[in-house]
Amino acid sequence: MREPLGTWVAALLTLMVFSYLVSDNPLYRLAEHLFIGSALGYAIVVSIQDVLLPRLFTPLARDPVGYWHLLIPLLLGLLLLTKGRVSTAWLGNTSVGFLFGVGAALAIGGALVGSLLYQVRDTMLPLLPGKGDGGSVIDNLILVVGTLGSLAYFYFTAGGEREAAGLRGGALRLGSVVGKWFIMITLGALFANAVMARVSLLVGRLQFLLGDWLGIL
Amino acid sequence: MLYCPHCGTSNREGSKFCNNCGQPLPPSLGQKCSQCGHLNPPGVFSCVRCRASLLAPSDEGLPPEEAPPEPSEEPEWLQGLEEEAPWEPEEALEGIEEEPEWLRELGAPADEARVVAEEEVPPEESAPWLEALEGLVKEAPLEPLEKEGLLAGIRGTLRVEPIFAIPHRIGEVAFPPLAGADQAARFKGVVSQPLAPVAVEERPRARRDQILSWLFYLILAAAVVGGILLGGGSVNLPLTQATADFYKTIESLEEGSVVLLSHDYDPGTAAEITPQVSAILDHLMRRGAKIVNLSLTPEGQALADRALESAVSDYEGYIQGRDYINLGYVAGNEVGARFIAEGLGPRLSPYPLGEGVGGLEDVNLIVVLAGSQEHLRRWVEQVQAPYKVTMVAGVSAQVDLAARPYYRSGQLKGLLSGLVGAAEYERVNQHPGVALSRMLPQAAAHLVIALFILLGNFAYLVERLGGRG
Repeated sequence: MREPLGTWVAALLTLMVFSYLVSDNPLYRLAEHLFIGSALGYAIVVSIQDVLLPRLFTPLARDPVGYWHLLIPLLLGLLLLTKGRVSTAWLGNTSVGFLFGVGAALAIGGALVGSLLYQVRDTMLPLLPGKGDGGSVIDNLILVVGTLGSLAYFYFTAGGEREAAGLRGGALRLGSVVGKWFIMITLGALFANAVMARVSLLVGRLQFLLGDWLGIL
Repeated sequence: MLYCPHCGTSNREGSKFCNNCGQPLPPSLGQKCSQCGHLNPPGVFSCVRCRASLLAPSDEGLPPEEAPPEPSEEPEWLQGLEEEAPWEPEEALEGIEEEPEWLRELGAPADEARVVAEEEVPPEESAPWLEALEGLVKEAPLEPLEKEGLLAGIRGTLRVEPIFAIPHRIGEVAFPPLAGADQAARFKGVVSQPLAPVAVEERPRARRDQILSWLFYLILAAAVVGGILLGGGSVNLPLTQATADFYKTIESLEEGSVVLLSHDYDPGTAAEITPQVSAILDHLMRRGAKIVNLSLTPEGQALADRALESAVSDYEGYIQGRDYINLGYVAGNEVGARFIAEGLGPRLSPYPLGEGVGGLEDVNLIVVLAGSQEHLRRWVEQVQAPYKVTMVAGVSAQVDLAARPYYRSGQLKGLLSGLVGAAEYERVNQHPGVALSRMLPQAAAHLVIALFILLGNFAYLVERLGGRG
């Protein structure tokens, strides 16, 4: 009984969302609000069930002395609630500072070690035919030219008119033109991938309507 | 309206005193000067011609009671004081000893000068300019008498000048020309135009665009439904290198290897990634791997449960806790990923699956299923790079361009991209599933979109050439 009801609810909500293609209407708005509300409610329940209860409240209730260090995140979390009122908002600054500090430190360190160094190293490629085949040389050439051109396109401090007319300025202008084309191709690929992802979603929904709901398939 | 010259308050016409400060107000109507007879404008205290005061009548016109008091009319207390202590200069100087020598030397010329000053200058010795000045002084009008107070009866002690509190008036101010004034004028012109003709012109075009949109939706839906009804799996998909590498990585796992699956996606990208998860779980279970599931998104854990439930139904020997487990939602984004890397052993220790798993070093493979590039980057930057773990990823098609550099640099050993990647995996795994069945409608939709793009560009080209002609 539960499964057919869920299928019907899902099918009706899918049709309500599709009704936006005709025009904006209350049914679409209702489905949108239901989706946002249920997603938020679900996230809260999961956070309580999977994070707060097993990792904070249950250990503290079982052995407060042994898990005394959990009082620190509990206190920081409670201080965050003071952000709701302007007069007491300053009390939560420590918690926010802690969150931002740890998050920024991990993100910056990770980006340097995990992305930037690897990507720079991966751009140092041989451009002359050697032991590898000709295809890899062309591949490397495209990669290096595309990377340098894209960097040149975002080089905004080329100097004055005198410098721009020189060799350096000419190389930068040429590089930025090449980089612009590479960026345009990249954006085109991004758009195509986004369309492909949405079409996959559309296929999935229509397959659900035809198969699970209507039983045609 | 009368304005008070002292405080500037506006008072009713005809008022004699200010309502705010109580000071006398100037006459509101023109007032005739008692000295020269000139009719003065309202609001002035003295005659504009002869400067005689208009506040009080002239000396001649003073009423008898306001005339200066006679000496006999002095108050008794003042007369008593004068009789008791008459001031005698000789007596006052009695106590002073002989004057000093320097003063005695100066005394003679000073006395002479005083005598000369007190003498009357004979008329024949006075200068002509002095005589002219004397005439002017004589002709000057007399200052008004003080009427009240201690200075009553004394003339010209305090010369009262009228003070006018004239309200500040803003005249014509020439503002500098505003930047963009012509644009503002043009905007005003556009706004002030009547709307009706514009609406009449735009309506057919908007209606036509709307009909074209509906037509496009219908054709797209027909192509997708037609593809679904015709059935999939017949499309000859080429196997990309990234998918082949993904397959080889899992294929190389030994039985009992520990694999960490992170389900970092939501319902918005589940249509692409759920088929990937089904194919990967099928392959992992066939290889006999121990699967640890978790999620960095709240929705991911529910989707993981559903996928595990579906996969386990085909492999009944797989037991929860011993062969697979779902650790659920891990909060904290970057911190959460690092937390798993540092504390995986204690999290798994309560379960039979965790025997022999001390930490991340005992994990043979991490599979990241990412609906957004942020989730993929978190795992690569926070876990793969610092701990050098073998990692593969299945991502949504829109994340493909962000994931490709990590695959090329070797940080990802394999990569599945979108629904196409899932279909390729099903094909190479020889286990056809939902992804392959969706390839035909997906291809049909791509074809329709490409045709419409070409058609639109062609129409634009024709319109542009026609406009030139």
